[in-house]
Amino acid sequence: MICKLWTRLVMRFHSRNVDDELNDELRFHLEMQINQNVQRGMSGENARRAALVDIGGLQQVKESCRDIRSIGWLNDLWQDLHHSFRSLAKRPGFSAIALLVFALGIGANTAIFSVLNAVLLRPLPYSDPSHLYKITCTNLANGCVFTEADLTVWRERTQVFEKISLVRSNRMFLSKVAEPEALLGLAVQRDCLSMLGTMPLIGRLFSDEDFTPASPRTVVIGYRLWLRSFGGERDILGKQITLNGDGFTVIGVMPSDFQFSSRQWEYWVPISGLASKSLGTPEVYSRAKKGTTRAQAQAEAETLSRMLFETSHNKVDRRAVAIPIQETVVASARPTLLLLSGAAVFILMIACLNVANLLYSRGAERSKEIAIRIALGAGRFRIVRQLLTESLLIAAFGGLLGLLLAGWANKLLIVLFSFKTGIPRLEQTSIDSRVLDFTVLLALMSSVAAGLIPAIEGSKVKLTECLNEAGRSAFGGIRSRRFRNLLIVCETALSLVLLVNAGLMLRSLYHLINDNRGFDGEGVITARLPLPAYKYSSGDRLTNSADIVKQVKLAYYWDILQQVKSLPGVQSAALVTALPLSVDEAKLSFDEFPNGVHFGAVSPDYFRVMGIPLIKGRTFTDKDDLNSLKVVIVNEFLASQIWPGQDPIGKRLGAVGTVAGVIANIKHQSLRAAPQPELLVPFLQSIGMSINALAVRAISNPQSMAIAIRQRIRDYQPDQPVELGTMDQLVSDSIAQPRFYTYLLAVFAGLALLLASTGIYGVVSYSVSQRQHEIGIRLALGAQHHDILREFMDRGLRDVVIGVVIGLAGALATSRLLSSLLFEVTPTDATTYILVCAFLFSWTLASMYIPARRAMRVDPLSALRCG
Amino acid sequence: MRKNKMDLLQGTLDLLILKTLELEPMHGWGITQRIEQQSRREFRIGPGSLYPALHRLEVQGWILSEMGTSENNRRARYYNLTPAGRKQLRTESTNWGRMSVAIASILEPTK
Repeated sequence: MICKLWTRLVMRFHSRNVDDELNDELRFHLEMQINQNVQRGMSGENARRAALVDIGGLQQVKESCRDIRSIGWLNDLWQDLHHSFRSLAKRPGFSAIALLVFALGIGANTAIFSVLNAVLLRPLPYSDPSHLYKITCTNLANGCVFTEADLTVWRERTQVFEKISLVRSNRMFLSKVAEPEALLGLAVQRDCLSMLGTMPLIGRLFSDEDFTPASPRTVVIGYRLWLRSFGGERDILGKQITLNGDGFTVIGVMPSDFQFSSRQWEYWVPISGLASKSLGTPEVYSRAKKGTTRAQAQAEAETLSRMLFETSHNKVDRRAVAIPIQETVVASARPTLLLLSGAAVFILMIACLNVANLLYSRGAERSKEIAIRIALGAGRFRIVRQLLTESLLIAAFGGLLGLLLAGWANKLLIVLFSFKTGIPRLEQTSIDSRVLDFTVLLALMSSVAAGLIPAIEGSKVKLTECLNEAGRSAFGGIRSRRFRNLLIVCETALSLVLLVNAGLMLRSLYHLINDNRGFDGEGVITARLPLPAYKYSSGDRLTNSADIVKQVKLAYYWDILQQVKSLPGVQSAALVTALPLSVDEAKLSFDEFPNGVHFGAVSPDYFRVMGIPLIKGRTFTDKDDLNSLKVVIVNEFLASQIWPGQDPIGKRLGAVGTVAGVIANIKHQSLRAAPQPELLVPFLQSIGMSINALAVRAISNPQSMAIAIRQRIRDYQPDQPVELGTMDQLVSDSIAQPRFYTYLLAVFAGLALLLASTGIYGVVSYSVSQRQHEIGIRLALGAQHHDILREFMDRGLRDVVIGVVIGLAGALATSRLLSSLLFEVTPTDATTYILVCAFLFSWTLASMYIPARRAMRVDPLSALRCG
Repeated sequence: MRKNKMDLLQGTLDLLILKTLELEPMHGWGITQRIEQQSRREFRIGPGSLYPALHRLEVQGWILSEMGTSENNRRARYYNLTPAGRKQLRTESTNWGRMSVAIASILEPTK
């Protein structure tokens, strides 16, 4: 079959040559025939004539040969494309609008798909990631973990997993650099990095000798750390860096796009040689043998964990689950991104309806041209194919423009939304080959969806009526009117669904931003000061007494606070364990609260700096120190839980202290979280935790103040990492993700509304222009202008109402999907629905009214003439 | 003659052409002559049927052609069977044989 096609193609391109040869061939045949005729006794002239008659028309022979040679459909397609292009170019206005509509529809889909691609679809930067699994325990809540000892057993027994490795998070302080920092890193077993399969950018990964106790300590660092603190110099390899006061030799640097388990690790160290209590919860990762399915991996994980269960003493149920590594990273983002894709599909549907309508209307105008072509012998299929080619061309160019638009939109997206949205790999959104394929496919499908029915309808032309000299378009029949009604209904419904959902999200965002947070951090500078604890650990220091350590820590931070307070330009400053909405969190376990109570040690000015309103009692003062009565301040939630209906002031809270005051509920974890119980103690009465942050209110210019603060702390303690920020930034980061989704959805809804209203405008406008003749007659017969207007509006109104009703049903159904994203707003929030409906109603009415008004202005005489 | 030509089915014409080319390459005129000869003047293929048929056979890959010089030093196109063409010839001949036996047995049932 391919050979046949190839031969045809070749023949087509050699057609001219073949024509000449065919001429020669036929001439030869003719001569031979003439010769034969002469030999049989005819005269020269008769012989020739007879031969010619025999051949039966040279031209026809050539034509038949040529017909066989031409590559049927390919030739026709080329003709169709050529013709379509010319006819589209003749109507630039129409073509431009159709193109733009498609561009918007396809562009929106391409943009959201490229995000989807970057976040969900692209494989992680490991070798063969489909065989990598994270093995977790099903009842994590009960603190079930797998230990290194468990893994040793597993490695011997497993049939399915090639490698199993354990990792634990770890914090170390980088010193002896320009900017000392607290770094988050990963302590890994030997196999871990090599199991992932990513090669380091420079240097090497861990080998056995890095894990022997006697050998020098080694570290692999991340790309960003390399750039940030070591200038990206290649000679970092072999150099020593100081982590927690010890020297670690850098043996390798990981590439810039390397990422593991969705946290940004700055370094990797061998797990041997680190004290267990400095390490976080163990996580287990494994690589399955080639060809293993997920089910097999899961079965193996269960088998292995059951093996532990049987041989262990304490019979704790630790059923293991094997999760493919891609899921551990992307699972959280999937539902919302799919939602947004759905919204983009709605936009495309509206776009297709609009283009279909445009094609429909255009078909009416061309009915004469089509009638002539049918009369000349073109088959109906051929006409349909040609009309379809036009829509294909529009979709192709529209798709190209859409691709361009999507590319810009992507860049804008990345710029507007910092990395803090918590959506993994969002910053890697780009247009790659998969996105291109998607766009091409979408353009194809849209062209067929939009163009098929108008093409079929366009070919059903009644010859007699159209070729009639005075023939008005017989096209605006009942079918096309029904299509226009359908368009209004569908587009209204689709836009309503999107608008309602966007409205709900916007309201939710508004609540997130504006609801009472329990504090007012505007303009507050934050400085996170993780304690270089290794300096103060009870190790080989002078005394091991925990008490002394505590005193030292308290004094350390207190001194820093005084230093900062004495800076000119500082209005007030305070210490706090964990700033609200930051990554830090401190919890104390309590009988009444099994999930723990948020716990903080604060200096007296904290409430003033952070604008935390006091509801009852008093705040801390300088008098609340080590030697005075132990006091606490609780928040409303805790008070209402422990002492409902009573005055908490003066009550004792266990061994912690006496309640001195009550403050409002502060949002700590996120702006969406429900109120949590909170307990605050005076800084000097605290147990000396690794207090983490300063909150400072400056008299003016926070920017320069921040730099001055850092300088002052540096002067005082050169090794202290100072992470500057602002409270506003923390708040903004905590809503980055909802803001991302909400703005996207709002843009989509706006786009849908724009397309829908222009579509409806076009429909009504066309309807008006089609019926000019009829309107003219009616006006001449005495109808009033506003009667005509009302009639146009009535028809459209009915459609809009139907559309709104359907849209409401759709919105109710789809908003349920949003419920996990909404804050303080239910999916059936009546206010939103009513407002949106009213808005859409008036907007679509306006889209219909404006063109309908033109109907009023029709001059009866000219309308009658134009018929 | 003319009536016969029109009755001749396209497929049968293909078969005759393929058979004619079985032994040696020929040009179009030679093919018509050979067929006329071997059918004892029953079939006379005009160029209006022959050349389209030859083109069709070529497109389907059963015959190849190239320009050459004829016996009387004129430029002519010579056609040749391809291996696929030979196979097609065998198939078609068998089919034809089977069909003619069937028709014959219907026309003379007492055979």
